[in-house]
Amino acid sequence: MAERARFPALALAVLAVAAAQAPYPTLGEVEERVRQRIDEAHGQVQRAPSDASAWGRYGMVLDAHRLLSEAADAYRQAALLDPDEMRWSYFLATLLEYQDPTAALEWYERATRLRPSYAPAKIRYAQTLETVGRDEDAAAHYHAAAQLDPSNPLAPFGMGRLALSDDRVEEALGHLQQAYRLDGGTRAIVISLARAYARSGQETLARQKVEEARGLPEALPHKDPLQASVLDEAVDSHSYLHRARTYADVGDLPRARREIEELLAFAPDFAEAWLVAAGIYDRQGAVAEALRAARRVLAIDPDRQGAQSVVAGALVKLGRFDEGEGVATQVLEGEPDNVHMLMLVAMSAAQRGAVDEVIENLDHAYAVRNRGNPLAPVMAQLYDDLAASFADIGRFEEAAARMSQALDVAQESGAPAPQLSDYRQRLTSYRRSAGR
Amino acid sequence: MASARLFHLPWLVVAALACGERPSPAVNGGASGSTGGAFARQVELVDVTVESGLDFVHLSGSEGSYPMPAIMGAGVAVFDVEGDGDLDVYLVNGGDRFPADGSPTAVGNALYRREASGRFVDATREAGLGDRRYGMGTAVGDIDNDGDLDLFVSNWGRDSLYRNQGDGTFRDVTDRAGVGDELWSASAVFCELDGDGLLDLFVTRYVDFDPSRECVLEGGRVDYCGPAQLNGLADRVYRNLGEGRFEDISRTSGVGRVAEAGLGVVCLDFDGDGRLDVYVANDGDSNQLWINRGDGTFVDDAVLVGLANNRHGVAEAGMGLAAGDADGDGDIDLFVSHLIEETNTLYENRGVAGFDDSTASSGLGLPSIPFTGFGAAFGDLDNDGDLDLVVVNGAIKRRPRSLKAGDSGFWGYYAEPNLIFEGLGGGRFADVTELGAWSTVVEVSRGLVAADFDRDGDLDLLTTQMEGPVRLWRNDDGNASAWVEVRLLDPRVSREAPGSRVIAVVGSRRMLKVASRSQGYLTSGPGGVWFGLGAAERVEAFEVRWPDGFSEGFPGTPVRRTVTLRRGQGTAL
Repeated sequence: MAERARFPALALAVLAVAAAQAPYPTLGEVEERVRQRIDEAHGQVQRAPSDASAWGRYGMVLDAHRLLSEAADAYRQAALLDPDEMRWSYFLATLLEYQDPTAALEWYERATRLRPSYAPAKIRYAQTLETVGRDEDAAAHYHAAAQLDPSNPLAPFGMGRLALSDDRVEEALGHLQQAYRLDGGTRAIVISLARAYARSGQETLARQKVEEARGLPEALPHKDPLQASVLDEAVDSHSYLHRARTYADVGDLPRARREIEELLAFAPDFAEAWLVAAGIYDRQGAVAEALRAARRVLAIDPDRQGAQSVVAGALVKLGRFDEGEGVATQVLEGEPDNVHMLMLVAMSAAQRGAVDEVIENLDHAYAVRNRGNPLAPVMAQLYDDLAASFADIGRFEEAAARMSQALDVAQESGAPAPQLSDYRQRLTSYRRSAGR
Repeated sequence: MASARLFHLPWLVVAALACGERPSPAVNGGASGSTGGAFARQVELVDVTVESGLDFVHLSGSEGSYPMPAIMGAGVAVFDVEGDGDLDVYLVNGGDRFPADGSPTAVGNALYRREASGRFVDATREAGLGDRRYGMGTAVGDIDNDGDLDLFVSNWGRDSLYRNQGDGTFRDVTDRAGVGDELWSASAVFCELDGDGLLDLFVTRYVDFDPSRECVLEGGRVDYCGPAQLNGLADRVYRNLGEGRFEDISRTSGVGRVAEAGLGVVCLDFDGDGRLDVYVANDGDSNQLWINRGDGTFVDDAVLVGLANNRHGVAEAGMGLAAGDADGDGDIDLFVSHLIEETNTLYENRGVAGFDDSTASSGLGLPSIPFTGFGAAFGDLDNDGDLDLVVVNGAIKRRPRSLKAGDSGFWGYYAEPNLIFEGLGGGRFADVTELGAWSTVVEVSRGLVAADFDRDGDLDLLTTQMEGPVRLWRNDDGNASAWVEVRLLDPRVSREAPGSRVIAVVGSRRMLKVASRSQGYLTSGPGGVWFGLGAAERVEAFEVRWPDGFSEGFPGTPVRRTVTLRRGQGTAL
């Protein structure tokens, strides 16, 4: 503000800018809801062209719908009209970061100066400094962020990466272990720790972490309320879907459910949304709702990949093994190597006590399994059960073979150390009993 | 980039580009950009497509609809079909329509033979190479050790293998070979994985695309699906059994147990154990480094050596690959091209410390952010002794048309300019894209091969375009500096030796190159290696490390010539 008072020319420029027309994007074939939201925000700017908040909000709406060029213009206007409001500089910086990182830096610098206590901004600033090769500056901002918010894993994660690339391996390990303690459920953090272990010569630990990382979510855990407020402005169906998936990924199932149900309220024939809903319901234990949602998918799109699998899984979970097995068998006709369905048939066969069918389907699933298969724990458990059953009747050779398969799958799926230890002990015991 | 920001799908473009600005050519990281001018004076790229006789035009058959395979192809193979010393060109086509079931369409691939006059002539029919399946990429290698080069074509739908009959004609041997995978294959490479003297085949596969699937992006806009919306496919490894037969060892090798969206591939001995390994660039998934354990199995060590993800630990959209000694320190670095809003990535080989993402300091990152990179090739275009880098681009989601001069309809939304970087030494590069006509052609490019097509002593460029013409760019004046081309022959198996490393000793410099036909995206290039030598008058000596780790020294040569180094005729090192 002081600067503005000292430089009348700048003040005049601000007045000129305030009189500027709000940019209106070429929308093409966007959903009507999006058009309405943009029109509403645009109208606010038209009615109050010197209102920084109106410009900023308009930028947020445009940004949320990926209309980036116009969003950047709107944020710039907002920042000019109210240079003390951190959000407009920050949003502009986050927008530019993915397009022109060098240009983003000045806006990050301004944003972090305006609100030095906001750790997420410091972290994004540091990441952008990394991208342009200013590692020392990046380290300083990561350090500051760690001071501000010791619970944020991205600060030690950044410091660890920087230390590792600078060959300070022990220091890197310390930072990355701290990041892992704060968030061991993010793939980037776990594999960076694996890399640090490898660099420090701890190959076994490194490989354990590599296995642990399989199937973990890829996105970095930015806990950034300001940025989230931008994303919440998006009203198109894809954004609802994306938000639902994102909340589900981070375990916030109630919020995920709200988002998907809001979407389904205005897009009741959106098969993909019903499929996501089915997954959310299933994870919430609302199996009957999951089944209904999956069947809705099939009613809209009978060939929809994945829906029948959800139906089969839900039926089995509901104890309707025969029906579930029937659907799974149908799926297997078209996808004979579908591990999920093979497992369901094996589980159903186990329920019926049809050991040969259990073994046949389980072995098929074992042969075609991929790492990261979410049903791996079930597969391990079934092999474990089979092994115990063979041992009970004194067929230790077969028990050892099944236990070995259980161990393979458990290791691949990153099973906890006590379980692996138990499996190894029993494998050894069975082998001894088999005379090997 | 630092993180995958929510909703930052790349189909709308950046503010700077909307204003018609191009990224600055300045080098990031403090390196001087002054030599960029010297490069530009020395190298001029001239579009000689029309006079060359290459009149091929790629068809996707999909305008107005959005089947994902239509936006991903197609590639090219550059190889000497009949052994006359000229580089011929095999161009992969899509189709006049998109065949959801993978069946053949009415248009096919095309072989252009280079004649003594220098012109290319369509020889598709005589050669029997008019594959009409919906094509993606190629792999070239001598699968039967008979001294001529055979051809694998990856497709949406059944893949094809063609045996060169030695007279310039080919026979489809797919069924007998057992390599006709029906799903969506992408880049492929022939290399010897089991040490039995026969070239095996590694095929990357992309995603399990459902042709009935339509992807709707933000705001309800329909566009091509991305890999995040689909399941990846496990890659295929085929062991060459001889007599035209291959065994699918994908599952037993371990490779087939991981399903990722594979696109680029290169086969090299990464750990120096005398066995060739395979690096795969995955789209949206972590890249894989399949270390060959020598017992028919492979283990993915990409994370442990730093080749899986970028420096932020994040998987990027890996498309094309280039392998070369980018920093001149005597080992092989890797470059991977990526999606808009990500940087392309340079992985610097640091020996026992593994690889580091050195994109930021290299100068290769920032200029790549506005574009989606596909084909990539290291090559010394100005023969100054430092590797340069070429990257061809083309969007996979619609972007504003501001990059396109004029209106070219549907595909104008996907068109992007290509990039050239001059190697400055030490792993730093300068964006020198503004090289005459090269910078004015803005299309949807995919394949790229750097080779001396006109045999005048410098590397020319051939690019393939989606729904557009192939382009041949003649390098004028690159041959002002000296060069040597090296071909490698292993007489024991009567063929070249892909995966070999060659060092040219020039004064105090030891310049390293690798022989690899498969680099870039969906492409196969020449099998030899090219050394730009600046003002040198001779190469003092060569050292070759053959794929099995055996090393030999060979006498040097005067410059400006092609030499063939034969295994067993050097001095064991």
